[in-house]
Amino acid sequence: MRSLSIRTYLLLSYLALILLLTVGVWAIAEPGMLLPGHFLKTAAAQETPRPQVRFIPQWQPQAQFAGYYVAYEKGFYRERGLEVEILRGGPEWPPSEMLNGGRADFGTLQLAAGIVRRARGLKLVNVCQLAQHSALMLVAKKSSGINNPQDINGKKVGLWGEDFQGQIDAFFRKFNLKVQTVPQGTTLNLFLRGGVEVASAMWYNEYHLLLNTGLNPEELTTFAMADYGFDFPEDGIYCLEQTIKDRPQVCRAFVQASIAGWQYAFAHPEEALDIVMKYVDAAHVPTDRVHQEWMLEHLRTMILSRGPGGPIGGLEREDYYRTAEALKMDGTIKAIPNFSQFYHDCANADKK
Amino acid sequence: MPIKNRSLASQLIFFILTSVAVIFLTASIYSYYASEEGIVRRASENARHLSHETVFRIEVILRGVEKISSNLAATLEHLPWQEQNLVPLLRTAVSNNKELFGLGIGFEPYGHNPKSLYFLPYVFRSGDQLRMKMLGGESYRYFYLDWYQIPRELGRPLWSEPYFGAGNVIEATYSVPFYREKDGRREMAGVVSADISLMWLKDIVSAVKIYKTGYAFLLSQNGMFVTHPEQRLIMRESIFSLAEARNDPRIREVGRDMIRGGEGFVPIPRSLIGKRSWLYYAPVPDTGWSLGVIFPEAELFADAHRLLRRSAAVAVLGLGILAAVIIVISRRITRPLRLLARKTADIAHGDFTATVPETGTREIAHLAGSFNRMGRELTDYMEKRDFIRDTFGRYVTPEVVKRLLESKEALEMGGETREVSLLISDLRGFTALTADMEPEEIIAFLNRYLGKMIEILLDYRAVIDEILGDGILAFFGAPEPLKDHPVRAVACAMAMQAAMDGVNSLNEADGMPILEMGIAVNTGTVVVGNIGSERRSKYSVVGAHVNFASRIESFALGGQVLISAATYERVKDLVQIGDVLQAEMKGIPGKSTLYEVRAIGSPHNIQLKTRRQTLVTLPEPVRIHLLRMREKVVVSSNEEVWVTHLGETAVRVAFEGDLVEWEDVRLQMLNRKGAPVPGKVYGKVTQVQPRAAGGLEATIRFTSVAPEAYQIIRRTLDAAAPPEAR
Repeated sequence: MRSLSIRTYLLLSYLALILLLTVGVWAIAEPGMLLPGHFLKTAAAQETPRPQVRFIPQWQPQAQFAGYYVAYEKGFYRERGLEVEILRGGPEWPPSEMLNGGRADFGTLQLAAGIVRRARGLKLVNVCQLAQHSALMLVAKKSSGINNPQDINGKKVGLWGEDFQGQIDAFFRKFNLKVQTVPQGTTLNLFLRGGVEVASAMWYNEYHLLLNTGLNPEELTTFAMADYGFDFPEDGIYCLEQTIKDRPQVCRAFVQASIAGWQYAFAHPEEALDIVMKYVDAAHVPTDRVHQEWMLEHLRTMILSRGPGGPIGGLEREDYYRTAEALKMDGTIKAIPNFSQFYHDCANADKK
Repeated sequence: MPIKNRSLASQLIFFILTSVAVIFLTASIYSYYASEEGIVRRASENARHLSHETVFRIEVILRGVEKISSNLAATLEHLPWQEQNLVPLLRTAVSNNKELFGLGIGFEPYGHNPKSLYFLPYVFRSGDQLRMKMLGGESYRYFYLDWYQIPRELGRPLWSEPYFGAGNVIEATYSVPFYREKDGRREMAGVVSADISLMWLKDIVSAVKIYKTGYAFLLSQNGMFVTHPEQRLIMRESIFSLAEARNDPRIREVGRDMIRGGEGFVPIPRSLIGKRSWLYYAPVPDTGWSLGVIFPEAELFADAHRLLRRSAAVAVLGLGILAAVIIVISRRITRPLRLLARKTADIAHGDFTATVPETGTREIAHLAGSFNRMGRELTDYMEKRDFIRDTFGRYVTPEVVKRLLESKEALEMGGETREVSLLISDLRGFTALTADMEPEEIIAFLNRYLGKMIEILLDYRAVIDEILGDGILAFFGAPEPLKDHPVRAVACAMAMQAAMDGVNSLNEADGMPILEMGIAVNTGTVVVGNIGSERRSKYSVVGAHVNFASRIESFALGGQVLISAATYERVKDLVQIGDVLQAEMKGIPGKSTLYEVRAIGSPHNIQLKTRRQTLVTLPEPVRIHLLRMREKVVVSSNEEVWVTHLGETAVRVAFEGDLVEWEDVRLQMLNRKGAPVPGKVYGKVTQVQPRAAGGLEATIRFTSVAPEAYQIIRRTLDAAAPPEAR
């Protein structure tokens, strides 16, 4: 038998190469394509329309919502059969109103805000409690003469709005402070220019921003809500009661994918930051990677409060009641909503 | 190796090069820093001008915009407004001012129309067109936006922080609140806001070119980068986030000063742009922004660095050359020194004639000259010293010279008592014999005699005390003690007498008189020492024994050695005695015994020639004249004297008149006519006795005989006596 000529060899090689490239491109384009059963799954998925889930973060794109962005980008939602649209958040789009208006299926809220809303009639439920601690604080410049809570009396205070006021109102009541409330937006410029003497800030966000405008820590007086007995858990995932009744699997899928996203983000911070910055750039949010790094790091302490390997996403009964009691005591709410009605644990329920 | 022992070259190199290097280093460092300082100052000046110029250009545009808003606000405050008026107003303003991107008026809630919460007419550019849009609504609640809220709360116009506007363009807004009177109160009615794109800002700032890689940037009031060559920093990072990222608090401090409206020229650490640089910053007062201009240090100081590098290279080269030159020169300097060292060794070994060439540097030539002079003077000195010693030795016995040169004590005055043997010699009738001679002849004649005698005396280690004319006074046994000084003295005397034959032969050959010498030796205790004073002294001898020796000498006949009894006692075993005399001495009671020595035994072994003592009887007496002498002066004359017996050394005469023993006389021989012939004969009367034939006869011993007289005597003797008798 005559051995193959060189030309034939080359031809066969080229064909093999092209085949490989095609498969490769395909594989990259569709991760998991090479896994058995993928084609069947995709086909099946394409036949039935995937449920649309709209998610509204409570603020503009930043590392505060890294877990969700990561879960989306890494396909955790898709894996669980969800097609998620992450909306752009901000002070103009309070999540409670978005949920109420049906413009979003899931949103993030602070626990106090959720309780207050529920107490005032909005049928919200908490499906996952991520941040176990409070990062809320009031900030003032020492040069304006504010060194302790009493000094805030009569001053202009920048506040973000209902969804972020639970603890702060309790704080004002505790120290019997009468203040001039001024709405605070996404920037601290009003505070920086001296338009208000006290500003609202998150320890993981605005505080660092202040430092990065040239203010030194020793030039600022901070009142962390956690230090004054208001260490309420903050960020959690909420939806309307109707949603959890109608589509419990979707809730569970969303929550679990989101938690997976958070875990991945903490395990791969650099990659998570890359993803976050993508969203940041798209939304033209004036921030930088270093700031987001700070933010992600501080969120880690708030979310992984039970240790790196511990469970996340659960709302403890005592934390709930502690928060609710405080709100009731200072008159923000009249009655404490029932816990089991308020909280539906989707984080640790069985996967489908 | 200690510094002292290193070679001149290495010492010079070490010190000079170190000093030069230090000096150069100091100078370089100083000049570098001075030039750096100068450069910094100049750069600061340039930067200041540049910055102010840039700021001015920025402010020109900003001010233009401010005026529009302010004027509009003022118009709104004074004129009633309606929608128809407002929009045309806005259109005109925007179209007239090309810097404006958009102009809007936001009213307080229900401020314009009681039915309308929001009212915000906004005119803006879209391509070439102007468009109007009514803003404000649920999706645009402008009351809480910075451009509205801040001027509202602060009550004054201000520039906003730059932000991203439509189409991804960086914009800033100038907001002016306007007011109206309501119920007597002045309350805010709304805010006029003018939006401008900051792209032109980028153009102005990026036009600032600094060397190769320097640049300018702009910070907002919050420290955010508004323009920067690095696109990714713009509106994303602030100088503080950069400081945080680079972990450098110094950058943060600079940023703080910048946003506080400071101005300055400061060094920036490497962390900011990856290399050391300088930053000039100046405020843009209207907006509260800050302009920064970066000067990379390497480029700023490029010239100075190059200068430094080149100077260093020159310095190294220079030092190298200097080292080589030093080596060469030091070798040239030390070559004569090395030669000098060798020649010095020669001199140390006694060769004072060693010389070095007087060449080279002035100092070395000087040294060489001194060295050679030293050699010459050492030679002179040595010669002088030898001369002195020799001359000294001529005048003083070598023994004494040696003693004097050896110890200073020898110069001291004072003496000691010592037993010595004295030797006194004298030439018989020298004065008379030489009366007719010339002084030079006399000295030559005398010195021949003295030369021989002195030689002998020195051989026998005598100290020659005195040479008084033809007489010699010497002594043995001082200053060096000599145990055998009596023997020595006698032997010396014998040798001196024995040498007279030789001297006389020479004298006779020269036509000079024959000499006869008498020597006396005495032994006794005397005082020896430096007699005189420090100015003039002599190592001499004093005592009775000296006088005694002198007396003995007067009894000695020519060719005779007479010794005292004291001496005899000491030498009797060695000597052969001839006559023994009993002499009467002045001042000494009784007679003194004197011994004539004819020979001395070993080791000296000297025997005196037996002189023709025999007196030959003359066939007939010869008449002579006799002159009696006292102290060498003729006192009387006797013509009745006849020679009866004649010998070589003596004569017996018969005489009339007086003659005393030991008397000095002079004999005059007569010719046939009875007149005295020339030729003096001197003698001493040794014996006077009566004649057998009656009368007196005397034996007269010759003390000196003139040559002519000696001829006559010999002729006479030869005629009278057979030769065998000699």
